[in-house]
Amino acid sequence: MRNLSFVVLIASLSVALLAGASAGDEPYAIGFNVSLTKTAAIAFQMKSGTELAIEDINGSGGIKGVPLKLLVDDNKLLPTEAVLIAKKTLPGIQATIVGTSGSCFLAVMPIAAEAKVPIFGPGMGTPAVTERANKYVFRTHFNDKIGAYVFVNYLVKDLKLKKIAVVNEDRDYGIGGAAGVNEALSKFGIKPAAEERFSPGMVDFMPIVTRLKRVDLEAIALWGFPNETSIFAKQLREAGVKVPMGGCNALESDKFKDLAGQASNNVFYVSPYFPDPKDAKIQAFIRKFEQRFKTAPDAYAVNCYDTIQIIAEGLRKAGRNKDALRDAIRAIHWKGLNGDLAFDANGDNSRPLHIIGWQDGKRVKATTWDITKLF
Amino acid sequence: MLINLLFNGIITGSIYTLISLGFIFAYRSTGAFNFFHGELYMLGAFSGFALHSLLGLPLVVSLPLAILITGLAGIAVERIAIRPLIVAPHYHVIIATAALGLIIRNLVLMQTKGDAKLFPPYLPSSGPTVLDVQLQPQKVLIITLTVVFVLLLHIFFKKTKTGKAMRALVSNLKAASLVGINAGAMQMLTFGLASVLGGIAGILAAPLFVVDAYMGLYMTFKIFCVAVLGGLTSTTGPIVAGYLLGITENLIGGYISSDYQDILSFAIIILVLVVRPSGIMGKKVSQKV
Repeated sequence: MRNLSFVVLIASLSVALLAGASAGDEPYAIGFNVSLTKTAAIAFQMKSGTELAIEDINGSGGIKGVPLKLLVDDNKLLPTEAVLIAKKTLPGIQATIVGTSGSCFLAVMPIAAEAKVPIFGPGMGTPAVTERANKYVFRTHFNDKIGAYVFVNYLVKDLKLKKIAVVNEDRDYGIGGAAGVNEALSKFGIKPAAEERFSPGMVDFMPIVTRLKRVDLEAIALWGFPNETSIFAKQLREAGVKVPMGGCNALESDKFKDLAGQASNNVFYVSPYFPDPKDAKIQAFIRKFEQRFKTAPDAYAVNCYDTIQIIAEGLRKAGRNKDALRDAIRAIHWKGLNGDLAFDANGDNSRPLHIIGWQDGKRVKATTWDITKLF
Repeated sequence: MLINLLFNGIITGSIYTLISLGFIFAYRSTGAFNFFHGELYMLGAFSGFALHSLLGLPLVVSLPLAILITGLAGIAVERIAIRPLIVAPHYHVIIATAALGLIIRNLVLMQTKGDAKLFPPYLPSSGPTVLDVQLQPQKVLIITLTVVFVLLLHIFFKKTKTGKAMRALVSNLKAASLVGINAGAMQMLTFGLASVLGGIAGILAAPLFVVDAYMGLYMTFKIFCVAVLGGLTSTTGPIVAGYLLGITENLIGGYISSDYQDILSFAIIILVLVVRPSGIMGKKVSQKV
């Protein structure tokens, strides 16, 4: 008789413990729907920043004892693949990060809204994602159009330049950037001094360079990726055109600096991230990242780190309640590594943007722009 | 501006000429349209980059070695994809060589992960400015070497025994074999020579641009255009056509828009095939049935 009651006691205690455990211990799942293969370098930085943040949070007890879990999927830069992943994973997760192209992100957006899952873009510059009145979209990178506005404001207001040429690649990224630059110029009542376009894969920019040489130029707004912009910069500088140029975030990449060499001098980019040697918090993060992943973090890694921290903060306030989580995130003011993050009704953030120039292979900050003070 | 565009057109034309000459030799000695040829341009550049920047070999070793690798690659392609298919319809060789081209391109792509790479510069990057044209040493080298090679090839084909044997082979394969010319060895030699020219073109051009897995594919279209424009039956054809294409591309890019630069080569191919299929310098070839 005593043995039986003992067994019953143990059994009921176990059931109670298990019930309690399963209700409280299930981790918060965060989706990672990114192109791991086609954009391997960016994906690596994003995943590393994300993993580091999750390790840090779980290491300090998780969110009220509940750990975070990352669900990694490769969308191969295909919107159809991104959608399949979203449909499969969103019902079971709290929030998701999507990358690396605008088309993948845009494709997943309506699914996230239907599943009521906040969707984050730590690498998403495409302006369109915050123009669709989707309450579940949160951009933790910066809006490329705003970036273009900022660069033009810098050229016109700070450097007092007026004769600005626009040179861009003829894909979405370049065309969008050029449109932003032209919009900004027209707000100042300025027309571009020259407009040139190049195709991806182009290596011979001499006709463009020759034409630009004949124009009275003070600056060039340049929108394209490192493979092409580096050669353009080299051929332009060799032809003797030394004016400041740049603007697009793609020029932040080490790849650009390595390929362009000396021609990267006097080339600027816009970014929320500046590895300031005087900022102790950033330097500590960089050291930790380098130790763990054997390479320096870039803006994407830092954005992802901040993104996870924001998601965690939202979960702390709202738990698994989907509507409350979305509202909690929108109300957050986060002092991140990349500046103070707060979201507006569209999902854009108002973080100030730095204008950073390359000088002898090193990044030098030219200025920081408050994006609420444009034009 | 005109003189700059012309100068640049001569540079581009020189590169097109060097590569296309090799393509025409290969075609005329075997009758095969070698779609791998453009990749030799890429292979020359990539080998030079890899040997120096990845394996750390000094330039005096890596550059000649890169040329050698390219030559051997060309010979290998001749053995694998051209010789075994010599009696098959022409399109078999086209597909086989294009397939090999695809393979090598993707092997390089796997290595570079799509990133462009910087070719180690072997000449200073700035030169004197004459008549508003910047005479960069690399550009002067390209023009000089192209002229030298064209002259050397001319002497080789007209004056040397091997050169004359190659010409005989090209003219009439059966008759050449009958007079004792070793067709197999000659074809191998021709391919080696053609490939070396392609590799040298890559090594000459790469310091001006970047090393990229797709640079060979891009060049294949230009080669085709030059071959068609110059006429497949002529040896001076590719030279004239190469420079004509280079200069016209730059003039159009400079005066109209760079958007049309690349379209030009395709437009030329179509136009020539419709109006004068034998090319501007080619002889009208008809076969007795």
